[in-house]
Amino acid sequence: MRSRLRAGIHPGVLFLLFLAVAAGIAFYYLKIGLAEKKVHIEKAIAYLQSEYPFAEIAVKRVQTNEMDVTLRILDVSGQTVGTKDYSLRGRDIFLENRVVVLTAADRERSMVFPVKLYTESVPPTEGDDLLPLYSVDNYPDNYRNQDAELSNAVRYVFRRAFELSNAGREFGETNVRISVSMDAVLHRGGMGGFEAGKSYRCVVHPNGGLELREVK
Amino acid sequence: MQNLDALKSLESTLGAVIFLLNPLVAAAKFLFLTPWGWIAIGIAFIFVVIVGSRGQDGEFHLSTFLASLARTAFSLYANLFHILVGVAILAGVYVLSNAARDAAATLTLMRETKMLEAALANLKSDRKVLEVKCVPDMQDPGNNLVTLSYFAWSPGLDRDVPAGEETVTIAGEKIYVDFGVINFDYSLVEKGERKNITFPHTLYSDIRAYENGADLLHPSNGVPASFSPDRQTLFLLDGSEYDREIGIVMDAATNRDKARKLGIRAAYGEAIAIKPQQNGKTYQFYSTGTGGVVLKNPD
Repeated sequence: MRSRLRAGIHPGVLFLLFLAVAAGIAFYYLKIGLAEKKVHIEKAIAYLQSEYPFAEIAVKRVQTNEMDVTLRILDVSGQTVGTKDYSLRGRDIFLENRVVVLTAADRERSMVFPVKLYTESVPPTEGDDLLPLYSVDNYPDNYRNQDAELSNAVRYVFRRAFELSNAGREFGETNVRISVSMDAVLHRGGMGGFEAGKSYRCVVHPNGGLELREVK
Repeated sequence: MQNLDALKSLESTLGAVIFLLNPLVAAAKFLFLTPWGWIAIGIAFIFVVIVGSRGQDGEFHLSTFLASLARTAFSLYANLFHILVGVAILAGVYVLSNAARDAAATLTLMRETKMLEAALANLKSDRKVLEVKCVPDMQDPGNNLVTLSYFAWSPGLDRDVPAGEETVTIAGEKIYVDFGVINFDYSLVEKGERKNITFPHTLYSDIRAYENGADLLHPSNGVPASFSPDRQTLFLLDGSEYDREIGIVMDAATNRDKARKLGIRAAYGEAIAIKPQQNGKTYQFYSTGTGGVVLKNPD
């Protein structure tokens, strides 16, 4: 029996066994590495899609060259922090915003401060000033929060956002910097126009890209 | 994409191996790893003993039963090596089957990760659509000379290529470069089936209303000029087919039903303000994978 057993363990079998064990270990670590990578990428995709609304335009009436609308300024959770009704001359509403992109390491976060409302018939200099709608004591209510440190940071960004040539500067003592500070305007343009009875939501992406969507 | 196909074919090969091994593994697991399996083996053993217990007269005797029991037990002992080898082979098949299952799961994970990587790259991909230089006009104070360099995405080269240049004169201290923007559903952008579209539309200023602005669209057959790359860069694509595709998207941007069918998430106008610079600074405007226009080097 012992000789038969000894004869049965062929070096080739041992080699195959070794290969199988090595492959098993390699697959195990590969699987762990892939699972971690997958979670990381999923988080990165979720981050890129992490948009939030900052304003909503409800259109009440549209006539040949007039429209009645309600503008609502929203905070990051979608709650209204300022609202006003407008009767405008024109058919397209232009919502001008100061967009600030904060960069830390490889991540970006955007803050939006609506500044002006006008139409296609009205030059921007004659537009309605929106800051009084939501800013109190030089603090933007759309980013109000309970955390004192964060509140100071918001106040700082808000102040710096309206200074000239402020992009690319370090943000206080931290590694956060304002990488972009620009005025971006949302409107319908040639894309169908505003319709009475409908609402349109303005959203911002982490990189500062804005979007105007019809609310379904 | 070829890598993904290779992974998919490997996965299906492993699936076939698992499918073939499954009945063998299930039988071995039942026989050796469950009480019912051992009961079945015991019953088979007793059956063999009883069958061999009949005497020459065909009757059952205790002496023949004991002899059969001893014979069967000895036969089992004599063939122990073969039995052990058989069990070892079954154990090997079981391990192999599990390894194949693990390998298939790893390949699936690998394929999913590759797809997610591609989705991330598509969402992060920015496309240059316009470069603008805006300098005060020294010959005509109050006016600015705005030089616009258009870029169009070339499907053949898979990059943005110059698509023309023009200079516009406009008055004002703040110039607004307006774009038409068409954003597709995230899922389509992630899969690489669609790219968000941005095209220069109008140039207006702080003192010149949008309706009196300069037209940057120059549509020809419904196709904006900024969608007209050098025909040679389309390579195998037919130029008229390319124009037709762009025309369909432009048409859908103003038609809710068509937009839904094409997977358009939002279509709107977006203007970015720049200031005239004596030093002739170049502003670069990019269309983003997540949606909207971004300025890469603002003030």
